[in-house]
Amino acid sequence: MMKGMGSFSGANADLEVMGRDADAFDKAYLDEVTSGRAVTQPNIWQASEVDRILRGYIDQAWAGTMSAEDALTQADAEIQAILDEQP
Amino acid sequence: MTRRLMGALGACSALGLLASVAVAQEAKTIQVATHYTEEQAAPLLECFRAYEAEHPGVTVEHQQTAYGDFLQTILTSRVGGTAPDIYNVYSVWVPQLAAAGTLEAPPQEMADFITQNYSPATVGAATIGGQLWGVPTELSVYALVYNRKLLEAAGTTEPPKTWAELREIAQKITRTNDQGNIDVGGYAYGTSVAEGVHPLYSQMFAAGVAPFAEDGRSTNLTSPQAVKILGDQAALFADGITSNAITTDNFASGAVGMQISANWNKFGWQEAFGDQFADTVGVAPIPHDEGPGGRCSIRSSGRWIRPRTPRTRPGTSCATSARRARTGSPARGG
Repeated sequence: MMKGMGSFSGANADLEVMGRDADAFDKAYLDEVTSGRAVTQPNIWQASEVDRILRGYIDQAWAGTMSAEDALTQADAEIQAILDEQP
Repeated sequence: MTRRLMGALGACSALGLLASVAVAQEAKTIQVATHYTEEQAAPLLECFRAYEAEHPGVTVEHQQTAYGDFLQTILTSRVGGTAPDIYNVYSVWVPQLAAAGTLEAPPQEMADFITQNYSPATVGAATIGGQLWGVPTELSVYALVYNRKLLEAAGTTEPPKTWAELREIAQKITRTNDQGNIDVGGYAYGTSVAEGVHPLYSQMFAAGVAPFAEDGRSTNLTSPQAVKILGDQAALFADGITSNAITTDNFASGAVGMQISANWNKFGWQEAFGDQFADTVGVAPIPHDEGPGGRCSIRSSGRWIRPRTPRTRPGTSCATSARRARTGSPARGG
């Protein structure tokens, strides 16, 4: 099922079995997990909204309408206001 | 055993833990809500039938909701008292759902199983403020994906290890037509929110800086590393190495040299490249300029999780629901 969905199971035993017959593509990703290089994406408050805001400023930097520093400073300010709402 | 079946059984075992809790708490019909399409959920439905065979008298129902509507459906069904017994939810929704008191923490037996059988990083993806929420299911891992043939045509068989190398290779790969439009992009970004944000997060991790503080109450977006990363990304656009017209969707047609993508794209690329998949698609750690010690990817996790909400439906005791409402005791999917 996980393969059909193009995804990995989170269980150690599943990952071990998947690694036994992994092709080069899967092995490269599995190595990230099993080597410990992969780190957890944080569970951030209002993550969807945070990401939407950040994407908007990334687009402005890519388009050259804002410098990278200004874009990230503005994004940080708006995101901080959201993070401050959490309990 | 095929890996497809193995994966299904793996998911079955985790789901079975939650289902057992629901059964133990009197439900004879277990409703499981996911955002999977019918085709995607087909192996999962096999799991349900297998569980029913092992537990006579128990029926497992699948509720399918489109991904875009899923979060709202969860919140609405809670208010309406029609929540299913088990959800498969995207991790990013869990902080809000947990803060709203929507979710039930897993029982200790299940929590012990998860901490003993999943890596710490995987457990961390399902944990908020020290509290584990649900059973981790899917992992999304980010890495540099590259078109081997385009790299070879550009004179290299080795994927880049630094952003400077990536830029140099990408520039060689890029081809522009007579109208000045990019036909083949050395590098590409996607159009969705995630396809812009996740590569930035991944590159920040690779550079040794987490996008957010560990307590989730501030960001590191103004760090020198983040500013440099976004500046380097913008330079690819400014210098005609990528554009909004050449995106990650074009990778499947052989028109993109490199991009940062998650593992779950494999299925589509296999379909696109067929028997040339292995000779075409390569994967490497995310390039970074912070030395060999940099972390190289991020991952998120979906999870099976139980709602905390009373509900009334055929097969459920109305008296039980009423008692719960009176006593204020946590509803248990009954």
